[in-house]
Amino acid sequence: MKSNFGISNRFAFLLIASLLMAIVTAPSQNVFARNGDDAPNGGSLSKAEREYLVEYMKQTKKKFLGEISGLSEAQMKFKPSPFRWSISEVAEHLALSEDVLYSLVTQRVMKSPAQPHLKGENGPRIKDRAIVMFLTNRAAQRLQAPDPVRPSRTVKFATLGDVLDRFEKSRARNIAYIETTKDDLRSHFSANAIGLIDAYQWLVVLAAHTERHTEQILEVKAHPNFPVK
Amino acid sequence: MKRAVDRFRWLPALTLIALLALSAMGQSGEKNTAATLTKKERDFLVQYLQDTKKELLDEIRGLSETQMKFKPNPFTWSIAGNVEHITVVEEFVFSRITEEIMKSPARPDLKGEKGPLVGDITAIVVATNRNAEKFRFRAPAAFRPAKKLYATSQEAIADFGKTRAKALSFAESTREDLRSHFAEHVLIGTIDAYQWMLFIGSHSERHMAQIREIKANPNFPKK
Repeated sequence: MKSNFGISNRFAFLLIASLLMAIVTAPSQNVFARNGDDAPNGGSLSKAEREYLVEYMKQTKKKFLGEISGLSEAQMKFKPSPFRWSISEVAEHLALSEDVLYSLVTQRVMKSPAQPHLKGENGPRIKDRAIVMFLTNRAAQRLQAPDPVRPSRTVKFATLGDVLDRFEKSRARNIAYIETTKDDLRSHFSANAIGLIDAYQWLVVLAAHTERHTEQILEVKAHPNFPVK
Repeated sequence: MKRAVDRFRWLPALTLIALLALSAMGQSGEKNTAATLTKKERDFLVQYLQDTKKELLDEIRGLSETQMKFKPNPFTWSIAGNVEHITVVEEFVFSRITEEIMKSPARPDLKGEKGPLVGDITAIVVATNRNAEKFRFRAPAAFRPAKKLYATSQEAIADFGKTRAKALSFAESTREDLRSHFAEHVLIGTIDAYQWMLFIGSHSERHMAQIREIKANPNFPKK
């Protein structure tokens, strides 16, 4: 047991490297790549796919904003421990993630060669719902965010208002993209530790990631030392 | 001492980290050309099956028949029901792996050139998510506790031990190419036989959470 702990500890770094760095650096992966063309006959999302994801994006946005509304400065800045984020830092992280993942999807994943034979939720790979279940399982993993989405590393926000403003604008753009895009999001892939994820599923990751951090906010608020006001 | 206990509580989470590292290594050079598990893969699987077995047995050790049969409400299973369900599912999954999945045609095309289409870690993290109501699936009728299968909890526990021992001995000794045979898992996606073996452990881990909830119920019998 003890040695297992030691091994795991040593590999904590690799965890960061493989799951989260993958989110940011996202090497476009050419498993079975055939050519750079899109699927013939257009590969737009189905109505159900579009509706599910738009709804999930709206719902997670609402829950997140609902949880932080009315919090005081002291409550926003409260850190459960020196190594854990304050709610304010979580909010920054979510605002940054909206842009980082959007550009990942549009600039990298969608520009990788199409792999139409893996296409569709019933393709031989991970299911959409499994991605949500993976990311919202806070009990099973402790992760560390890479620099580009870490609070105050790349972008400094002056006020919480700026953070939320950025989050809302970016989320609105992302929702509009899902509502209107004709891109074949199901045929382009990029891998992370969860598996080989298509562009649509990377957007599922984004919404599930918001849900994950809203859970974190609830944990901070439930902390015995959380300021009363 | 307390510290040791705290560490142990983190073990399942930490083993995941090791697993993830392992899958990262698999991508960087250690790709096995031999058609059997690498030592790391085998060690991890065996350790995970042992840890989750120990976790379950520790959690139910010393419980009385009344405690084992206690149901928080008519719609929830008892601890005995959970143990029975875990055993039935493991028996089914294990024979599916050995009789069906390993006998299906090899699909080297699904192994992925730069890494697995579904990460190993996924077979664990997905199955152990019990946070949200929406992920509480209803087990298929064949897997629901039948009430008649075991007269006493002791029998159920003994049977679980036997079933898990089979999976463990297979994990320890098989020379088969678990990484080349795939089948769709209804929650996770298309996973290979090794990942199906991991699921045996993660499925019991999932039910551990349910067992702990039952024990934490205010009406749980004192003895």
